[in-house]
Formats: sequence, C-alpha cells, structure tokens
Amino acid sequence: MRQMWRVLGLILLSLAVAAGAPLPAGAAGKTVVVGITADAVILDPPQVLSATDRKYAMNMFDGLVEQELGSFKIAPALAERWEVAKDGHSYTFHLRKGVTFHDGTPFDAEAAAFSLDRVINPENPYNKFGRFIYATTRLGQIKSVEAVDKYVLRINLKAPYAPLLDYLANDGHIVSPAAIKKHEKEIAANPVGTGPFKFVRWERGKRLVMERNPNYWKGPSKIEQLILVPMPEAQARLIALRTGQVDFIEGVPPDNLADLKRDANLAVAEGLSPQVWYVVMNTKRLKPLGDVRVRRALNHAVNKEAIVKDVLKGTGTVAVGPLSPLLAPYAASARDVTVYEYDPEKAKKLLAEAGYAGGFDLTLSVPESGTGMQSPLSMATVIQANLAAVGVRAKLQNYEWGAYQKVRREGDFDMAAFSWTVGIGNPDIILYAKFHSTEQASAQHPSYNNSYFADPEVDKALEQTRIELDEAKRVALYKQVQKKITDSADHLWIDHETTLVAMNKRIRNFKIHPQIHYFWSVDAN
Amino acid sequence: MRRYLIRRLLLLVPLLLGVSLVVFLIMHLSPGDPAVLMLGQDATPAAVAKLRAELGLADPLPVQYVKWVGRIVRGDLGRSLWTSRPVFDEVLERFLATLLLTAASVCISVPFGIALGVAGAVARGTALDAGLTLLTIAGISLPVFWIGLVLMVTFSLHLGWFPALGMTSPAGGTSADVLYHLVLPAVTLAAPSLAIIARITRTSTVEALAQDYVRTAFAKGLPGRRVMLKHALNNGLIPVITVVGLQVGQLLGGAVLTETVFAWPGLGTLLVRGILARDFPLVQGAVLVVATLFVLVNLLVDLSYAYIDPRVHHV
Repeated sequence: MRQMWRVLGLILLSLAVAAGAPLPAGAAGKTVVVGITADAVILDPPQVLSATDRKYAMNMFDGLVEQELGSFKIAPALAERWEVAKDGHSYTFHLRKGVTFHDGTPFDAEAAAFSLDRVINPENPYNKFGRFIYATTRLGQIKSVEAVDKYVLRINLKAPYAPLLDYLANDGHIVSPAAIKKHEKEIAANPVGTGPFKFVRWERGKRLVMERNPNYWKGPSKIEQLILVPMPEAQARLIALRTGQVDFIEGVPPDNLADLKRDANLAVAEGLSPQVWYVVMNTKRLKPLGDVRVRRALNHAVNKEAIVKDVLKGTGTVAVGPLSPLLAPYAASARDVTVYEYDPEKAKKLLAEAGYAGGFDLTLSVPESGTGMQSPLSMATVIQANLAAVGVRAKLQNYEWGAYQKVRREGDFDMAAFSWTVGIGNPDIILYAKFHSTEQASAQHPSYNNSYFADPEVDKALEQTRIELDEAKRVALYKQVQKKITDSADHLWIDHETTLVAMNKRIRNFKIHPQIHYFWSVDAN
Repeated sequence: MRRYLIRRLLLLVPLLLGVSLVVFLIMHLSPGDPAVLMLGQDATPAAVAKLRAELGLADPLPVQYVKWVGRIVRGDLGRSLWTSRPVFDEVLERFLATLLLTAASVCISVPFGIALGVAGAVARGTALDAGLTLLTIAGISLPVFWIGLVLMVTFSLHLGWFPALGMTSPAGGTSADVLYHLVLPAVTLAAPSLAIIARITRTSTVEALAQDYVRTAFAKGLPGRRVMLKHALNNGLIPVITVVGLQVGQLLGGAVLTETVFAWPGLGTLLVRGILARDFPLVQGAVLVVATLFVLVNLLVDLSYAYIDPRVHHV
C-alpha cells in the first residue's frame, strides 16, 4: 500500500516536471495578460475563420488598408494611398516604404503580391498548404494581383466590386513570403507579419506569447510583452481579473457589469458592436405569419426596451432594423424605416383585423447559446410572455448551436431567434444573404433567407450596390432596402449587443474595436 | 494468469471496433455540419460543398467509416478538421495535463476518502458519523463547477493563497508553479470521488467489522489499530478499488467541467471543443484513445484484486 503511494507521488512529480518549463530569458518587462473566451485554432490570417482566431492573430499583422479603431471606416495601412480605375476593374496601391516583416525580410509590392496570390490563386505553389475559404467568397472577385513597381501593387478584378477594401481590411492581411516558403503547412502555427507584436510561442490551450516589434511602422508599442490566455468560464475569468492574474478580459456577463464598475481597481470599456439579435418569422409555414398585419402585430407586441434594460442590464442598443449604427452611413435610423413601438393594444387590434382575435399557437425556436446570441433563453422567455399578453401562444423549443444551424439554413421553424455579426463596414454580407430572393432557404438549397422575403425591387437594389462605386448612391440604395424590410415586418429586430471588456486600471490608452482587441496603443504601469 | 491477460487484451479489439462504430455514428448522424460551422455567415451552398469535399465529408458514410478504420489500423488517427493537425498530436498534448490532474485528484481522494470512511465506520452511530455522512452526501450532490467556483472565490479571490486558474502563470512557469496551480482544480475534482470512496469504505468496513475473523482477531487480543488495518480494511478495500478504478478511467476521459472552470488545458476541454465544432476525426480519435485507457485501467483493477485479496485467482 505504502509503495503504491510512493509510486503515485513519483508519477505526480514527474508529470509536474514535464508540464512546467522554465521561463525563457528576457520574458520580463511590461507585460499585459489577456483572458480570451476560447483557444485559438489557426494563426494564419487568410485561413482564419472564427472571431476568436482573429483576436489572437491580428495584433501581429497588417493589411494594405485597415479599419479605423472604433468604426469600420477604411484607413491606409501598408498602402499609403490607392486609386480605383475608372471602370472599377482594378485598384492600384502605393505601398509604404521601409517596412520589414518580423523575420527581417523587406515588405514591398513583390511580397504583397505573393502573399495575396497564395490565397486567391490555386496554381500558386503554396496555395495547397492552406485552406482559403475567402478566396472564392469575400475575395472571389479578385482576378489577379501584380507588382507593377517596387512599391506599387495592382489588384485586378473580374468585375467592379464595391466591398473590396472592406474585405481587404478584414481578410487581406499580408504574410511574409519567406515564412510562407519556410513553414509550408505549419504557417498556420508560425505567424510572421509586419504588425505591432511579434510571435514568440504558442502553447495550445495555454497561451500565445507575443513581444513588441521594435521596428513597427507606426512606432513601437509601449508594452513589451502581450500574452493571450484562453479562459472559457466567465465567472472564473472575472476572478482571474480581480486577483490580478490577468489584466484584461472580454466576454463580461451583463449581470456582473455593475459589480465591476464599482471595483476601484478595474475599468470597463464599452462600444457599439456590428451585431444584431433578431427573431425571424417563417412566412411560408404558419398561415397567420403569412399575413403582414399579424407580423406587424407581433412587432408591436414585443417590448425591446424591457429586454435590453432588464435581461441585458443595458448591454445593448434597441434595434430598428438589421444594421447596427456602427455600420454608418449605411445603417438606417428610425427616420428611414418603419418603426414598431411597443403597443400591445395596437397589436391586439391588428390581430383582430387579420381574423386572429383569439390569438394562435406557434413555436419559437431558440439556441441555448451561440456566437453573438447574448442571453438567448432569457430573451426568448420575455418575448414569449409579450406574445402571450396579446393572445399569441408561443412554445419555446431550444437547440444546441451546431444542430441549430441546420434549422436555420433549411427554414425549419415558425419563428426563430438568431444573431448576425457583420464583421466589416459593408452591409452586403447580411442584406444579400437574408433578403435576396435567390437566397431562400430550403433543404435543397440551405441558405439564410429564411423569412422567404422576395421583392424584385430589393433584388435589383442589392445587385446594384455590389457594383455601384458612388458611395452616396449605395447609401440611398441600402436605405431603400431597409425600409422595404421593415415594412414587411417579417423580423423582430431586438437589439445590437454592446462590446464589453474589462481591465485593470494599470492598463491605459486602450481603444475599443468592435471585434478585435488591439494593443498597439496601450500602455501599462 | 498469462492466458487471462491475453484473453482480456484480445477482447479489446472487438470492443474498440464497437466503440469506433458508435462514436462515428453519433458524430455523423447528429445534426450539425462542420463545414457550415466553419464558414459561419459565409456558408453559401457552393462554399459548403467545396469545403465538405476538401474535408473528405462528401463520400457516403460507410465509405468514410471504412477509410477511417483503415487508417487507424495503420496507426493513423487522421487530422483535425479545424486545425489540420494530426489528431494523435492534439490528444497527446492535452493528455499530459489530464493525467496530471487525475493523478493529483486520486492522491487526494483515495487517502482522505478511505480515512473518512474508516472513521465513519469506527464511530458509526455517533454525531461524528452523522456529520461525515452529511459531508459526503454534499460532496456527491454538489455540482463540481460550483465547488470549483466557491474554492476559487474563497482561496484565490479572498485569501489570495492560490492562483485562480490555468496550469501555470500566464507567461509559463516552473514545475513548482504547476503544482501550485494544481491545488484548486485537483481538490475540486477530488471532491465527488472522495465522497463516493468515503461512503463505500464506510459501508464495506462496517460489514467487515461484523465478520467472524475480525471478532477472532479482537478476541486473540490484537490491538484495534492492527485489526483495523490488517484485517478489516484489506477486505473492505475490494469494492473501494473497483470504484477508484472506474473513477480514474472516467477522469482520464477529461474532467470536462473542472477543466473548463479552471481553464485547465486537458482532454476534456479538447473534446468539448471538438464536439461543439463537429470536428469528427478529433472526437473519434480522442474517444478511441480514452476508451482504450479506460479498458486498460479496469484490467489493472481486476488484476489488483489478486494482489489485495489472496482468495482471488484469475484462471
């Protein structure tokens, strides 16, 4: 028996020895530790698909253009300026001089062309070492990329494509060609860019360590080391912040917000997000939902303000349509669209007019959790109670997130709660997918138009926005589309989530971005 | 003995085949498509079809299953759909952390569990016994994530004795640092096992104490301590060892909740991520590895009966 203990003790000790590793030399200095809700999967920007991976990778890279902090406005980055050909078929970028990648190789048009060519060109010898989904979707309109001069890069398009710069800022980060050639498939775990922080090491499930890039073209960051640590459990993440184990966390639960704000050592940063939380009505399945008067009644029945105030503790902005105000100038304001104020009496009147004075039964599908879903079950419960108050009896049916995608893409519901996060400053991605008549969802054609919205004028306007290069005209077209959408009342647009992060007060100068935590500007005591 | 061992090891083959088929079917037949989850809002029908083909999901299910088993026979667990890395590497990397946590929690739950159980048996009927019973029932019924959070709030937030979570300090750390980080999750994970072991030890020791040979031992004047340790406990331990074996087997599969709460980079968190993302090869491979270990641990337990109790012989 005693022997057994000795053996167990030995095992334990040797495991601990194996798990521990001495700190690498020179790791001290000004360090910021960040708690992220999940671990990273891929660190090669053009292969990154999830919002989480973006948070891990993007402090190490730059694109030709970038999104201004706190908005989606496009600003120069590795390209100092650019020109669009009159026919819209090509973009010419004038690149910044004197920039080097973290591996010491120079950044120039040749390097940028190779990095982008690897993504969009299946013939590129390094294309086969990665999986580049956006090559056929977001960046699918790019025909070729060429270095015209040492610092002049041209992107040729198959057809004029208005969202190009938005997608380049989001998905067109430039990776060191030398690293691409050296690491081949392993480039996914060996990121080399031009960004403010350099990759040091990644221990999966434990941490990603970065150090500052002393030669960063905007000037070196004031912090020397940046460490991102996966911490899936929200309450544990809060404790880690309060005990000083981490300096910065994301994913703050609304219920803890008041407590955090009271804590003298902590600061909270809030910002608008490009997300929208909504309930979609399948207008083709349940007869009453095919009637616009009924849909408008349901819109009047739901108290969005109460949901935002009581369930979300104010961590959201009441929505009037699909686009968050962050997507200005495209986002419609209350003036531009049909607004349905909370008015149960009006709802009852509309239901009676439509012949449903006695109400009707429906099922409201909702996921237990999921990307951008905020507090789905509590929110759906309030909606259920609101509907009951006007006589509509909703039964809640909940799903696991993965299984729920099938329900969503095949339109298999009466009413269903979803969210959509528009990661770029261009509303094409949500409006086309959800409202173009060719995107109607079915088992044969899984897609995102699951209210079965169909309007030839909207189709035409949406097609036009893709090729219209005049911004004012695009804004007008998008507003027209949003008006039509709200008229049809086939969605309850509930709220836009607030981006919420909390940090130790030793962190200064943090500027919030809706999706990525950028640490270049940050200083710490 | 050797024949018994060989027979048990050979039984592994049909068992693992069965496990592989069940995991494969559960993963592939449950709704949810990895391609759709990966693409998110970019999941146009064309992009989904292209990605499914790249991921090898376009073949009919039986073909996929045969291909997968064929690879396993050659020692290849396949590659994760999300990271494109070999599943074996992913599992191995996480396994060390899980093994460490499991070993530590066994080091806590077994001695303390047995001690509490024996104390309860010796003091049966007294207030101490009642108190211990209450404590063990609490240990069994309280959800482990709650225990974890309470320990974290108490010993990390308020007392500041231990770090809240992770396996090392954020920048990485020495072995001592790992042991320091190990305390709270190990105690959390040990709590329910400790309680179960205490309950079972108490019951079986009470039974053993009522046996004739124990009475004889007392009658021939042996000191109580010796009777307890040498005579009663040895026999009382048989069911305890069975339970410990099962618990260890389970823990090796990853203590999902404890690992999640404490951000412990083990197999449990890997499996959860794999399941949520419908990473078929990752989940299938990890479950196969875990199932093999589970069977081996149970085999060890069966063999240990012979060691503990001379009456048991495997023929």
